[in-house]
Amino acid sequence: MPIEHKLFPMLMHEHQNFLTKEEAAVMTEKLIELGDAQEHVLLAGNSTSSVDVNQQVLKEFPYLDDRLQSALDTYTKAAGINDVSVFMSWYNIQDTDSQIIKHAHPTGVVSGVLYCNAVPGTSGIELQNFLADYMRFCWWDVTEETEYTEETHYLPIDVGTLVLIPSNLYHNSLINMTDKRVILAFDAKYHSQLGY
Amino acid sequence: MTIKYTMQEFRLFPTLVLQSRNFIDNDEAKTIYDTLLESNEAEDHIWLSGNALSSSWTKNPQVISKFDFLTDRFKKALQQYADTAGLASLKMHRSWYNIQNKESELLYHSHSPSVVSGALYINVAPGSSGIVFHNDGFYNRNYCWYANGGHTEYTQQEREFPVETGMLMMFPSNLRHRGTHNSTNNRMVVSFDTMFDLEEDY
Repeated sequence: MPIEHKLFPMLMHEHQNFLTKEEAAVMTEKLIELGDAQEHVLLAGNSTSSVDVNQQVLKEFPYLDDRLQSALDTYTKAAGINDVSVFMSWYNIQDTDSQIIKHAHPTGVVSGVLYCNAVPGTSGIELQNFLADYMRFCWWDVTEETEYTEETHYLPIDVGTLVLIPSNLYHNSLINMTDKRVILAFDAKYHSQLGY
Repeated sequence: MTIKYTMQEFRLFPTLVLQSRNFIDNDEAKTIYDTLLESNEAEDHIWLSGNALSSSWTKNPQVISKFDFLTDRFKKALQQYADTAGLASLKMHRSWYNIQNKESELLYHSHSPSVVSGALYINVAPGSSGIVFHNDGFYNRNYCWYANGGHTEYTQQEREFPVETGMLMMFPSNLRHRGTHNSTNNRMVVSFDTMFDLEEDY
């Protein structure tokens, strides 16, 4: 049998139960209470984001600092890159029939999203395989979707889940079918890049 | 308060390379080597630097058709690749050979417009160059070599495979690749491209 080599993958970490249900509920309440989210070009439908007006949302939740840093350290160690820390964070609130449009985070190295409020039917995260544009086959040539042929990878999510991805990896949500899908997102960069 | 959470690691969107050692035995390799050397169809090529020649597709685009004993084996290997990747069946549509001497190098290139390509190593001695694949996602990343803490599959710009006589490597045709510096004489490889084996070609 031939040896199967899987070259050049992209690393994603999913931490389930990163927040307890109680913590997630408290965060959801606090973020809705902040009330500074507004329309954003990357949000379609009835949805708002604080990304243009409040980029330090995590300061509201200092008890998460050590936990997030530990998750980031696990990620950077696995990826083989230098340590990173969060430098900006924001929240999005989505209602029924809304969608986060495909985008990447050009100023970060590692990006993350914490799911604070999500009921069954809430959209997870869809990751985009940029190599799909270069592959020499199309959907009608694919007999089975495998990790080698998938153009997107969809990850369903639960309340309290943390997802970490490379910041350059394009992602989006599907159309959200629930009220009050609340997430807190953040970008992290190298310690050497912080402070100037 | 101690939080207990579970972590799952995903390795998204890898590129498939299949490596088969001893795809042909040494006697078969010798037969192929002698036949191709005698055919004398190789000439200079833009992707080969130094003392090296290629038959390319100019004189004979069907080098492998000289060797009937390989037909079924290649069919099986191509089907293995297609099944593993989840693709429709493949068929070979052109093949050629390269012969490299000391101080030569195969330059970076990819094979358009094929689907899957391969290299069968016919004559490889210690010191012969291996094959290097390029990570086309490398320059899209938001980090650079100076910010790498270690060398992992997530940070590598290239992946090198040493090769040996009788080995078959198959990879997506769009995957850029090159040879390392070659330090031996008469390094020979037979390469090929494939397309989908559709019932109704058009």
